[in-house]
Amino acid sequence: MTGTSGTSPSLAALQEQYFYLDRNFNRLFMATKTDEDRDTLRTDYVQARDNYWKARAQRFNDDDPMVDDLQQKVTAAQRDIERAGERLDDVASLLDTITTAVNLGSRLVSLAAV
Amino acid sequence: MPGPLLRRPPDGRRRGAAALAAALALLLLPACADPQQLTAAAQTGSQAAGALRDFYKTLSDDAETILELESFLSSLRGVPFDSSERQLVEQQIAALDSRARAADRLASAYSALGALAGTDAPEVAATAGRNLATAIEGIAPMPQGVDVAPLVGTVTGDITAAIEARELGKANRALLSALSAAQRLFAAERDLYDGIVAERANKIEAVEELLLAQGVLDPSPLLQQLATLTGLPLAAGAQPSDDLRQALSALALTKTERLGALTAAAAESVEATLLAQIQVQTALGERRAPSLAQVNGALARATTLLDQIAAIKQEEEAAKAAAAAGGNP
Repeated sequence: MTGTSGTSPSLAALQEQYFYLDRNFNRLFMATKTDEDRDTLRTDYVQARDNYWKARAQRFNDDDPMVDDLQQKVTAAQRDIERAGERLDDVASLLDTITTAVNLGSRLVSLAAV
Repeated sequence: MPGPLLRRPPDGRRRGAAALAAALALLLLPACADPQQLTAAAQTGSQAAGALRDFYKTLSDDAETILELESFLSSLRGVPFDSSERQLVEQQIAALDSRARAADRLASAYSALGALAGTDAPEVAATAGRNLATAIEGIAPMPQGVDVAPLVGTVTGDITAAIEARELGKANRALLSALSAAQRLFAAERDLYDGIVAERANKIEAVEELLLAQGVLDPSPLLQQLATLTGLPLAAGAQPSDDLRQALSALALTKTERLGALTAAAAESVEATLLAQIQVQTALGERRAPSLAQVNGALARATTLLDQIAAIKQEEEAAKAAAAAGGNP
Protein backbone atom coordinates (compact mmCIF):
# COMPACT_ATOMS: atom_id res chain seq x y z
CA MET A 1 0.00 0.00 0.00
CA THR A 2 1.36 3.38 -0.97
CA GLY A 3 -1.27 5.50 0.75
CA THR A 4 -0.71 7.25 4.05
CA SER A 5 -3.03 8.73 6.63
CA GLY A 6 -3.73 12.42 6.16
CA THR A 7 -3.82 14.51 3.01
CA SER A 8 -1.27 14.11 0.22
CA PRO A 9 0.20 17.62 -0.38
CA SER A 10 0.35 16.91 -4.11
CA LEU A 11 -3.32 15.92 -4.26
CA ALA A 12 -4.19 18.94 -2.15
CA ALA A 13 -2.36 21.29 -4.55
CA LEU A 14 -4.17 19.89 -7.60
CA GLN A 15 -7.48 19.93 -5.73
CA GLU A 16 -7.03 23.59 -4.84
CA GLN A 17 -6.28 24.46 -8.50
CA TYR A 18 -9.27 22.54 -9.88
CA PHE A 19 -11.68 23.71 -7.20
CA TYR A 20 -10.68 27.35 -7.76
CA LEU A 21 -11.41 27.11 -11.49
CA ASP A 22 -14.64 25.17 -10.85
CA ARG A 23 -15.90 27.73 -8.33
CA ASN A 24 -14.81 30.80 -10.33
CA PHE A 25 -15.48 29.62 -13.88
CA ASN A 26 -18.54 31.84 -14.36
CA ARG A 27 -16.85 34.96 -12.98
CA LEU A 28 -13.69 34.43 -15.04
CA PHE A 29 -15.72 33.61 -18.16
CA MET A 30 -17.75 36.81 -17.81
CA ALA A 31 -14.50 38.77 -17.58
CA THR A 32 -13.07 37.39 -20.83
CA LYS A 33 -13.31 39.62 -23.91
CA THR A 34 -12.31 37.42 -26.82
CA ASP A 35 -13.24 33.95 -28.08
CA GLU A 36 -9.57 33.01 -27.82
CA ASP A 37 -9.51 33.91 -24.12
CA ARG A 38 -12.72 31.93 -23.55
CA ASP A 39 -11.24 28.87 -25.25
CA THR A 40 -8.07 29.20 -23.16
CA LEU A 41 -10.15 29.26 -19.98
CA ARG A 42 -12.12 26.20 -21.10
CA THR A 43 -8.93 24.27 -21.93
CA ASP A 44 -7.38 25.19 -18.59
CA TYR A 45 -10.50 24.12 -16.69
CA VAL A 46 -10.64 20.72 -18.42
CA GLN A 47 -6.94 20.14 -17.86
CA ALA A 48 -7.20 21.03 -14.15
CA ARG A 49 -10.28 18.81 -13.73
CA ASP A 50 -8.61 15.85 -15.46
CA ASN A 51 -5.36 16.37 -13.53
CA TYR A 52 -7.28 16.18 -10.25
CA TRP A 53 -9.39 13.18 -11.20
CA LYS A 54 -6.32 11.26 -12.32
CA ALA A 55 -4.46 12.31 -9.18
CA ARG A 56 -7.37 11.23 -7.00
CA ALA A 57 -7.06 7.87 -8.70
CA GLN A 58 -3.34 7.66 -8.18
CA ARG A 59 -1.29 7.96 -5.05
CA PHE A 60 1.73 10.20 -5.01
CA ASN A 61 5.09 9.31 -3.70
CA ASP A 62 5.57 12.42 -1.64
CA ASP A 63 9.07 11.33 -0.72
CA ASP A 64 10.29 12.09 -4.23
CA PRO A 65 12.14 15.45 -3.96
CA MET A 66 11.30 16.33 -7.55
CA VAL A 67 7.60 15.87 -6.78
CA ASP A 68 8.03 18.01 -3.68
CA ASP A 69 9.64 20.84 -5.59
CA LEU A 70 7.03 20.74 -8.34
CA GLN A 71 4.20 20.60 -5.85
CA GLN A 72 5.53 23.77 -4.19
CA LYS A 73 5.62 25.46 -7.59
CA VAL A 74 1.99 24.45 -8.21
CA THR A 75 0.99 25.90 -4.85
CA ALA A 76 2.91 29.15 -5.49
CA ALA A 77 1.29 29.44 -8.92
CA GLN A 78 -2.12 29.03 -7.32
CA ARG A 79 -1.41 31.97 -5.01
CA ASP A 80 -0.54 34.04 -8.12
CA ILE A 81 -3.85 33.05 -9.72
CA GLU A 82 -5.86 34.05 -6.68
CA ARG A 83 -4.10 37.40 -6.41
CA ALA A 84 -4.62 38.07 -10.12
CA GLY A 85 -8.20 36.84 -9.91
CA GLU A 86 -9.06 39.56 -7.44
CA ARG A 87 -8.63 42.08 -10.25
CA LEU A 88 -10.16 41.15 -13.57
CA ASP A 89 -8.88 44.16 -15.53
CA ASP A 90 -6.06 42.17 -17.17
CA VAL A 91 -7.75 38.94 -18.16
CA ALA A 92 -5.11 37.95 -20.73
CA SER A 93 -2.40 38.04 -18.08
CA LEU A 94 -4.63 36.13 -15.64
CA LEU A 95 -5.25 33.44 -18.23
CA ASP A 96 -1.49 33.14 -18.86
CA THR A 97 -0.99 32.62 -15.14
CA ILE A 98 -3.73 29.99 -15.01
CA THR A 99 -2.34 28.14 -18.03
CA THR A 100 1.15 28.08 -16.52
CA ALA A 101 -0.20 26.72 -13.23
CA VAL A 102 -2.36 24.06 -14.90
CA ASN A 103 0.60 22.90 -17.02
CA LEU A 104 2.62 22.55 -13.82
CA GLY A 105 -0.23 20.46 -12.44
CA SER A 106 -0.10 18.15 -15.46
CA ARG A 107 3.63 17.68 -14.94
CA LEU A 108 2.95 16.76 -11.32
CA VAL A 109 0.40 14.12 -12.32
CA SER A 110 2.68 12.64 -14.98
CA LEU A 111 5.61 12.47 -12.54
CA ALA A 112 3.51 10.54 -10.07
CA ALA A 113 2.49 8.07 -12.78
CA VAL A 114 6.10 7.02 -13.32
CA MET B 1 4.48 -54.73 47.04
CA PRO B 2 2.47 -52.98 44.25
CA GLY B 3 3.53 -53.54 40.61
CA PRO B 4 5.17 -50.79 38.54
CA LEU B 5 1.80 -49.40 37.30
CA LEU B 6 0.49 -48.96 40.78
CA ARG B 7 3.58 -47.43 42.35
CA ARG B 8 3.28 -43.60 42.88
CA PRO B 9 5.75 -41.62 40.71
CA PRO B 10 8.43 -39.57 42.40
CA ASP B 11 7.52 -35.87 43.36
CA GLY B 12 9.43 -34.23 40.42
CA ARG B 13 7.52 -36.25 37.84
CA ARG B 14 4.17 -35.34 39.54
CA ARG B 15 4.98 -31.61 39.28
CA GLY B 16 5.97 -32.01 35.62
CA ALA B 17 2.72 -33.84 34.78
CA ALA B 18 0.65 -31.15 36.50
CA ALA B 19 2.45 -28.42 34.53
CA LEU B 20 1.88 -30.26 31.25
CA ALA B 21 -1.83 -30.68 32.04
CA ALA B 22 -2.13 -26.96 32.81
CA ALA B 23 -0.38 -26.05 29.54
CA LEU B 24 -2.64 -28.36 27.56
CA ALA B 25 -5.69 -26.83 29.23
CA LEU B 26 -4.51 -23.34 28.21
CA LEU B 27 -4.01 -24.44 24.60
CA LEU B 28 -7.49 -25.91 24.45
CA LEU B 29 -9.22 -22.89 26.02
CA PRO B 30 -10.40 -20.20 23.48
CA ALA B 31 -8.36 -16.97 23.63
CA CYS B 32 -11.48 -15.09 24.79
CA ALA B 33 -13.17 -17.44 27.23
CA ASP B 34 -16.29 -15.34 27.98
CA PRO B 35 -19.02 -15.94 25.36
CA GLN B 36 -21.09 -13.06 26.76
CA GLN B 37 -18.28 -10.56 26.21
CA LEU B 38 -17.72 -11.94 22.73
CA THR B 39 -21.44 -11.69 21.93
CA ALA B 40 -21.47 -8.04 23.03
CA ALA B 41 -18.32 -7.30 21.02
CA ALA B 42 -19.79 -9.04 17.98
CA GLN B 43 -22.88 -6.83 18.21
CA THR B 44 -20.87 -3.59 18.29
CA GLY B 45 -18.66 -5.01 15.52
CA SER B 46 -21.70 -5.62 13.35
CA GLN B 47 -22.97 -2.08 14.01
CA ALA B 48 -19.54 -0.57 13.31
CA ALA B 49 -19.26 -2.40 9.99
CA GLY B 50 -22.83 -1.30 9.23
CA ALA B 51 -21.88 2.35 9.80
CA LEU B 52 -18.89 1.88 7.48
CA ARG B 53 -21.20 0.40 4.82
CA ASP B 54 -23.64 3.32 5.12
CA PHE B 55 -20.82 5.85 4.84
CA TYR B 56 -19.51 4.24 1.64
CA LYS B 57 -23.03 4.25 0.21
CA THR B 58 -23.47 7.97 0.85
CA LEU B 59 -20.08 8.64 -0.74
CA SER B 60 -21.05 6.58 -3.78
CA ASP B 61 -24.21 8.73 -4.10
CA ASP B 62 -22.05 11.85 -3.93
CA ALA B 63 -19.82 10.58 -6.74
CA GLU B 64 -22.94 9.83 -8.85
CA THR B 65 -24.09 13.41 -8.29
CA ILE B 66 -20.67 14.71 -9.39
CA LEU B 67 -20.96 12.69 -12.61
CA GLU B 68 -24.47 14.01 -13.34
CA LEU B 69 -23.67 17.64 -12.56
CA GLU B 70 -20.38 17.64 -14.46
CA SER B 71 -22.25 16.36 -17.55
CA PHE B 72 -24.64 19.30 -17.19
CA LEU B 73 -21.98 21.91 -16.40
CA SER B 74 -19.63 20.77 -19.15
CA SER B 75 -22.39 21.18 -21.68
CA LEU B 76 -23.25 24.68 -20.42
CA ARG B 77 -19.60 25.73 -20.17
CA GLY B 78 -18.81 24.37 -23.63
CA VAL B 79 -16.08 22.02 -22.37
CA PRO B 80 -15.56 18.38 -23.33
CA PHE B 81 -16.46 15.55 -21.00
CA ASP B 82 -15.53 12.39 -22.86
CA SER B 83 -16.01 8.71 -22.09
CA SER B 84 -12.52 8.21 -20.62
CA GLU B 85 -13.17 10.97 -18.09
CA ARG B 86 -16.60 9.59 -17.26
CA GLN B 87 -14.98 6.22 -16.75
CA LEU B 88 -12.62 7.65 -14.11
CA VAL B 89 -15.61 8.71 -12.02
CA GLU B 90 -17.58 5.52 -12.76
CA GLN B 91 -14.66 3.39 -11.59
CA GLN B 92 -14.55 5.36 -8.34
CA ILE B 93 -18.28 4.75 -7.87
CA ALA B 94 -17.74 1.02 -8.46
CA ALA B 95 -14.84 1.00 -5.99
CA LEU B 96 -16.98 2.69 -3.32
CA ASP B 97 -19.85 0.24 -3.97
CA SER B 98 -17.56 -2.75 -3.57
CA ARG B 99 -16.28 -1.32 -0.28
CA ALA B 100 -19.88 -0.92 0.90
CA ARG B 101 -20.59 -4.57 0.01
CA ALA B 102 -17.48 -5.75 1.85
CA ALA B 103 -18.47 -3.74 4.94
CA ASP B 104 -21.97 -5.26 4.73
CA ARG B 105 -20.51 -8.75 4.58
CA LEU B 106 -18.24 -7.91 7.54
CA ALA B 107 -21.34 -6.85 9.49
CA SER B 108 -22.97 -10.21 8.66
CA ALA B 109 -19.87 -12.10 9.75
CA TYR B 110 -19.88 -10.29 13.10
CA SER B 111 -23.56 -11.15 13.52
CA ALA B 112 -22.75 -14.75 12.76
CA LEU B 113 -19.92 -14.71 15.31
CA GLY B 114 -22.32 -13.33 17.89
CA ALA B 115 -24.81 -16.09 17.11
CA LEU B 116 -22.02 -18.66 17.28
CA ALA B 117 -20.87 -17.43 20.70
CA GLY B 118 -24.41 -17.29 22.04
CA THR B 119 -25.92 -20.41 20.55
CA ASP B 120 -25.03 -23.51 18.62
CA ALA B 121 -25.37 -22.30 15.01
CA PRO B 122 -22.29 -23.45 13.07
CA GLU B 123 -24.04 -23.53 9.68
CA VAL B 124 -25.03 -19.84 9.92
CA ALA B 125 -21.51 -18.85 10.98
CA ALA B 126 -19.86 -20.88 8.23
CA THR B 127 -22.02 -19.24 5.54
CA ALA B 128 -21.26 -15.75 6.91
CA GLY B 129 -17.54 -16.55 6.96
CA ARG B 130 -17.61 -17.64 3.30
CA ASN B 131 -19.59 -14.49 2.32
CA LEU B 132 -17.00 -12.32 4.06
CA ALA B 133 -14.13 -14.03 2.24
CA THR B 134 -15.87 -13.48 -1.12
CA ALA B 135 -16.61 -9.83 -0.38
CA ILE B 136 -13.09 -8.95 0.73
CA GLU B 137 -11.63 -10.60 -2.35
CA GLY B 138 -13.97 -8.43 -4.43
CA ILE B 139 -12.84 -5.06 -3.06
CA ALA B 140 -11.89 -3.06 -6.15
CA PRO B 141 -9.06 -0.54 -5.79
CA MET B 142 -9.81 3.12 -6.36
CA PRO B 143 -8.69 3.54 -9.99
CA GLN B 144 -4.90 2.98 -10.00
CA GLY B 145 -5.15 3.77 -6.30
CA VAL B 146 -4.52 2.16 -2.95
CA ASP B 147 -3.45 -1.48 -3.23
CA VAL B 148 -5.84 -3.54 -1.09
CA ALA B 149 -4.16 -6.95 -1.29
CA PRO B 150 -1.39 -6.37 1.31
CA LEU B 151 -4.00 -5.02 3.73
CA VAL B 152 -6.16 -8.13 3.52
CA GLY B 153 -3.42 -10.73 3.39
CA THR B 154 -4.56 -14.17 4.44
CA VAL B 155 -7.53 -12.90 6.43
CA THR B 156 -10.13 -14.50 4.20
CA GLY B 157 -8.97 -18.08 4.73
CA ASP B 158 -8.49 -17.55 8.45
CA ILE B 159 -12.02 -16.30 9.05
CA THR B 160 -13.75 -19.11 7.19
CA ALA B 161 -11.67 -21.82 8.86
CA ALA B 162 -12.02 -20.34 12.32
CA ILE B 163 -15.78 -19.88 12.11
CA GLU B 164 -16.34 -23.33 10.64
CA ALA B 165 -14.32 -24.91 13.43
CA ARG B 166 -16.22 -22.88 16.06
CA GLU B 167 -12.94 -21.59 17.40
CA LEU B 168 -14.23 -18.42 19.00
CA GLY B 169 -10.84 -16.97 19.86
CA LYS B 170 -9.50 -17.52 16.37
CA ALA B 171 -12.68 -16.08 14.85
CA ASN B 172 -12.29 -12.99 17.04
CA ARG B 173 -8.69 -12.57 15.88
CA ALA B 174 -9.60 -13.14 12.24
CA LEU B 175 -12.44 -10.58 12.28
CA LEU B 176 -10.16 -8.18 14.17
CA SER B 177 -7.67 -8.58 11.31
CA ALA B 178 -10.37 -7.83 8.72
CA LEU B 179 -11.63 -4.80 10.65
CA SER B 180 -8.09 -3.47 11.13
CA ALA B 181 -7.50 -3.81 7.37
CA ALA B 182 -10.75 -1.92 6.70
CA GLN B 183 -9.70 0.83 9.12
CA ARG B 184 -6.23 1.18 7.53
CA LEU B 185 -7.80 1.41 4.07
CA PHE B 186 -10.28 4.03 5.33
CA ALA B 187 -7.50 6.12 6.89
CA ALA B 188 -5.34 5.84 3.74
CA GLU B 189 -8.19 7.02 1.51
CA ARG B 190 -9.65 9.77 3.75
CA ASP B 191 -8.40 12.60 1.58
CA LEU B 192 -10.10 10.98 -1.45
CA TYR B 193 -13.39 10.81 0.48
CA ASP B 194 -13.08 14.43 1.66
CA GLY B 195 -12.35 15.48 -1.93
CA ILE B 196 -15.50 13.79 -3.24
CA VAL B 197 -17.64 15.54 -0.62
CA ALA B 198 -16.12 18.95 -1.36
CA GLU B 199 -16.38 18.49 -5.13
CA ARG B 200 -20.09 17.64 -4.90
CA ALA B 201 -20.71 20.85 -2.96
CA ASN B 202 -18.77 22.86 -5.59
CA LYS B 203 -20.80 21.39 -8.43
CA ILE B 204 -24.13 22.13 -6.75
CA GLU B 205 -23.03 25.69 -6.05
CA ALA B 206 -21.96 26.18 -9.68
CA VAL B 207 -25.23 24.79 -11.04
CA GLU B 208 -27.29 26.91 -8.67
CA GLU B 209 -25.38 30.05 -9.60
CA LEU B 210 -25.96 29.41 -13.31
CA LEU B 211 -29.67 28.65 -12.93
CA LEU B 212 -30.32 31.62 -10.64
CA ALA B 213 -28.52 33.93 -13.06
CA GLN B 214 -30.83 32.73 -15.83
CA GLY B 215 -33.89 33.27 -13.65
CA VAL B 216 -35.06 29.67 -13.96
CA LEU B 217 -34.94 28.78 -10.27
CA ASP B 218 -37.98 29.45 -8.11
CA PRO B 219 -36.90 30.61 -4.65
CA SER B 220 -40.46 30.38 -3.26
CA PRO B 221 -39.79 27.33 -1.05
CA LEU B 222 -36.93 29.14 0.67
CA LEU B 223 -39.01 32.31 0.97
CA GLN B 224 -41.78 30.25 2.53
CA GLN B 225 -39.35 28.74 5.05
CA LEU B 226 -38.15 32.21 6.04
CA ALA B 227 -41.72 33.47 6.31
CA THR B 228 -42.59 30.53 8.55
CA LEU B 229 -39.81 31.59 10.93
CA THR B 230 -41.36 35.06 11.26
CA GLY B 231 -44.85 33.67 11.77
CA LEU B 232 -46.16 35.86 8.94
CA PRO B 233 -47.55 34.66 5.58
CA LEU B 234 -45.90 35.51 2.29
CA ALA B 235 -47.58 38.36 0.40
CA ALA B 236 -49.54 37.04 -2.58
CA GLY B 237 -47.63 37.45 -5.83
CA ALA B 238 -44.45 38.59 -4.03
CA GLN B 239 -41.54 38.80 -6.48
CA PRO B 240 -38.04 38.82 -4.95
CA SER B 241 -35.62 41.53 -6.05
CA ASP B 242 -32.16 40.69 -7.40
CA ASP B 243 -30.64 41.39 -4.00
CA LEU B 244 -33.13 39.07 -2.35
CA ARG B 245 -32.41 36.37 -4.93
CA GLN B 246 -28.71 36.65 -4.11
CA ALA B 247 -29.47 36.32 -0.41
CA LEU B 248 -31.69 33.28 -1.03
CA SER B 249 -28.91 31.74 -3.10
CA ALA B 250 -26.59 32.16 -0.13
CA LEU B 251 -29.17 30.43 2.08
CA ALA B 252 -29.49 27.51 -0.32
CA LEU B 253 -25.71 27.16 -0.37
CA THR B 254 -25.64 27.02 3.42
CA LYS B 255 -27.81 23.91 3.22
CA THR B 256 -25.44 22.34 0.66
CA GLU B 257 -22.44 23.18 2.81
CA ARG B 258 -24.19 21.63 5.80
CA LEU B 259 -24.38 18.30 3.99
CA GLY B 260 -20.67 18.51 3.29
CA ALA B 261 -19.93 19.29 6.94
CA LEU B 262 -22.13 16.40 8.10
CA THR B 263 -20.38 13.95 5.76
CA ALA B 264 -16.95 15.10 6.91
CA ALA B 265 -18.05 14.67 10.54
CA ALA B 266 -19.48 11.25 9.71
CA ALA B 267 -16.10 10.19 8.30
CA GLU B 268 -14.43 11.17 11.60
CA SER B 269 -17.04 9.31 13.64
CA VAL B 270 -16.91 6.18 11.49
CA GLU B 271 -13.12 6.03 11.82
CA ALA B 272 -13.40 6.60 15.60
CA THR B 273 -15.92 3.75 15.74
CA LEU B 274 -13.63 1.36 13.90
CA LEU B 275 -10.68 2.24 16.15
CA ALA B 276 -12.78 1.79 19.31
CA GLN B 277 -14.05 -1.59 18.09
CA ILE B 278 -10.48 -2.67 17.36
CA GLN B 279 -9.59 -1.85 20.97
CA VAL B 280 -12.51 -3.94 22.24
CA GLN B 281 -11.51 -6.99 20.25
CA THR B 282 -7.83 -6.56 21.07
CA ALA B 283 -8.73 -6.59 24.77
CA LEU B 284 -10.77 -9.76 24.29
CA GLY B 285 -7.88 -11.42 22.48
CA GLU B 286 -5.57 -10.54 25.37
CA ARG B 287 -8.14 -11.88 27.84
CA ARG B 288 -8.77 -8.42 29.29
CA ALA B 289 -12.34 -7.37 30.00
CA PRO B 290 -13.24 -4.84 27.29
CA SER B 291 -15.11 -1.61 27.93
CA LEU B 292 -17.80 -0.94 25.37
CA ALA B 293 -18.39 2.69 26.43
CA GLN B 294 -16.08 4.21 23.81
CA VAL B 295 -17.33 2.16 20.87
CA ASN B 296 -20.97 2.71 21.87
CA GLY B 297 -20.38 6.46 22.11
CA ALA B 298 -18.65 6.61 18.71
CA LEU B 299 -21.38 4.44 17.18
CA ALA B 300 -24.11 6.72 18.49
CA ARG B 301 -22.41 9.78 16.95
CA ALA B 302 -21.78 8.05 13.62
CA THR B 303 -25.35 6.74 13.42
CA THR B 304 -26.86 10.15 14.20
CA LEU B 305 -24.78 11.84 11.52
CA LEU B 306 -25.47 9.16 8.90
CA ASP B 307 -29.21 9.39 9.66
CA GLN B 308 -29.11 13.19 9.21
CA ILE B 309 -27.32 12.79 5.88
CA ALA B 310 -29.88 10.22 4.73
CA ALA B 311 -32.74 12.55 5.71
CA ILE B 312 -31.30 15.46 3.70
CA LYS B 313 -30.76 13.25 0.66
CA GLN B 314 -34.30 11.91 0.92
CA GLU B 315 -35.58 15.52 0.88
CA GLU B 316 -33.51 16.15 -2.24
CA GLU B 317 -34.88 13.02 -3.94
CA ALA B 318 -38.43 14.04 -3.05
CA ALA B 319 -37.84 17.51 -4.51
CA LYS B 320 -36.40 15.93 -7.66
CA ALA B 321 -39.41 13.65 -8.03
CA ALA B 322 -41.81 16.54 -7.48
CA ALA B 323 -39.98 18.65 -10.06
CA ALA B 324 -40.09 15.79 -12.56
CA ALA B 325 -43.82 15.49 -11.97
CA GLY B 326 -44.17 19.21 -12.65
CA GLY B 327 -44.93 20.43 -9.13
CA ASN B 328 -43.08 21.91 -6.17
CA PRO B 329 -42.72 19.98 -2.91
